[in-house]
Amino acid sequence: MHLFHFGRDDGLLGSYTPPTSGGSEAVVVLCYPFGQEYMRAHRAFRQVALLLGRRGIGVLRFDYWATGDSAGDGAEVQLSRWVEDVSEAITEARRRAGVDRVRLGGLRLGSTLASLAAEGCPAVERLVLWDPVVLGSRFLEELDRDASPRIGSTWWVHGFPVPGALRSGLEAIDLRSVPFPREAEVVQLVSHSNRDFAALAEALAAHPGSATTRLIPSPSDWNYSDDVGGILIPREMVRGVVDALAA
Amino acid sequence: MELGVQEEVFTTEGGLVGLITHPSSDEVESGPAVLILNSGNIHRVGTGRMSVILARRLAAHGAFVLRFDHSGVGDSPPRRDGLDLEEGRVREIIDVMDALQERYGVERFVVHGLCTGARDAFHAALQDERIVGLVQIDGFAYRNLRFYLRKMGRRLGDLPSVVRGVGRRMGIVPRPERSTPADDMWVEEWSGYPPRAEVEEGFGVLVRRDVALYVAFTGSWEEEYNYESQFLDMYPGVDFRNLLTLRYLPEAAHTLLDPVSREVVVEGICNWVVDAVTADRRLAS
Repeated sequence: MHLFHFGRDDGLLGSYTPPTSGGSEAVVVLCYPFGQEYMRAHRAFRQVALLLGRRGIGVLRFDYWATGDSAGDGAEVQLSRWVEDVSEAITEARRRAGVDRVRLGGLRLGSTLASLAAEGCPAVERLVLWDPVVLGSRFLEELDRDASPRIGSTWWVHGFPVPGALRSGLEAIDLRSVPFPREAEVVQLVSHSNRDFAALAEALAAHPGSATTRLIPSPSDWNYSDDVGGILIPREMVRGVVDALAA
Repeated sequence: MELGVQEEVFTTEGGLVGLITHPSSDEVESGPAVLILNSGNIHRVGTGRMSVILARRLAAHGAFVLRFDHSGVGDSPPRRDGLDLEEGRVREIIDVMDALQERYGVERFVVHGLCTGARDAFHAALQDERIVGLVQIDGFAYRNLRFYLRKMGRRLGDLPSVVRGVGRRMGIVPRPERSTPADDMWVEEWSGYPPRAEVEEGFGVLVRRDVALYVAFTGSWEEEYNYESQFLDMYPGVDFRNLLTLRYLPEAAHTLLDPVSREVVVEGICNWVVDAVTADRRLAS
């Protein structure tokens, strides 16, 4: 695994896990969730990357601008910048792996950002959406349940800023209306059933490429914080995500 | 990178991974490097990105800062040598200092830790004299008579909870169910504190070595620490002279996720590092 800076002003921190055997004709870009969900998912993403590397597929993970180790102040974040970051990561991953085809995997908001970035990117041949945020308004409702009092125009959730501009971007999200690349295969992996996942599955029926939804019952309390830094590695789901991206 | 922030990927031969933040001013140039340790399983970014914020703020004051992942945390691979967790983490702090000394010529260090990181920093400081400063947030705490008196006083002020407590003891009121972590959740092993006398002896050693100490306790530790000067009362045999800066933050939570509390802590640590380094430079000259 190599850590490096890339993207605009070298402001994004990426990690590339090269294939340890063989070599696929595609590379995977993994898209983290947001905030506390990112903290809890970081090690699970490392696990996904290592397992894919063993299956012969290179993987790039990265922190969006103003998150994790990347440059920037979280109070200035906008959703559109994160979508651009995914596009930059796709370019970087293809360059590092020396391949054209890309598979995107994301968890929660990461799935949504991957979907938005895939729009108009024919190099994307597959998307694996793990418990995707289908409706931004619902995601905001979830965040607001854990939000502390607003300071100025910024909400704070588990220590992470959610500025007004980011809220506006999130509010507008409706994954059901995102046009995925025509030829791309879309796989929705869900840890539990809910009406949003069902609505996306229904919308995906109109997708011209292959589209499936699979239930892998597993823990999903990502937006949760405790005093001991509990993280989450849902093993069955990790295996499911790896299988879906490697197949 | 945003204006003024220069960061560089750091790896050790053993595969530990971290980020160096280079100084962006010369306020404390040639001072000790600051190491920011993991808290439990939380990777090098820190709770609510606190380690990133702290590192960049310290660098803006002129400090050279490294935040890294211990083995088995974040991007660092697990150890394979069978060392126990705590021993392994202390070994890794020393390995990291060796690497920084070899590559950058840094010879003195301030080590910052919250929770398990605070304990690891203490043990490393006892083993390695290159550590000249220690930041401990919610480190070791030992209850004493004054702690219990305060606790009792608070309880007596809350009659319903006294009644509930008595009821539970008598079996009249049911005890609340304890939640169990999900199968896949990693919870930091709570190894407990060493005996108080051992820690007191350790602080005695550090003070004799003129190690500067920044010690803070948050309100989340109220079951172990509930008044400002408890730290001094825990170690009556140690004369901390002017080496100790003690902060009690009853409104703050252990993970410092509240931005206001976090800002107080970050700013406090930055000011302390600048002051401690300035004093250190005087001692060195």
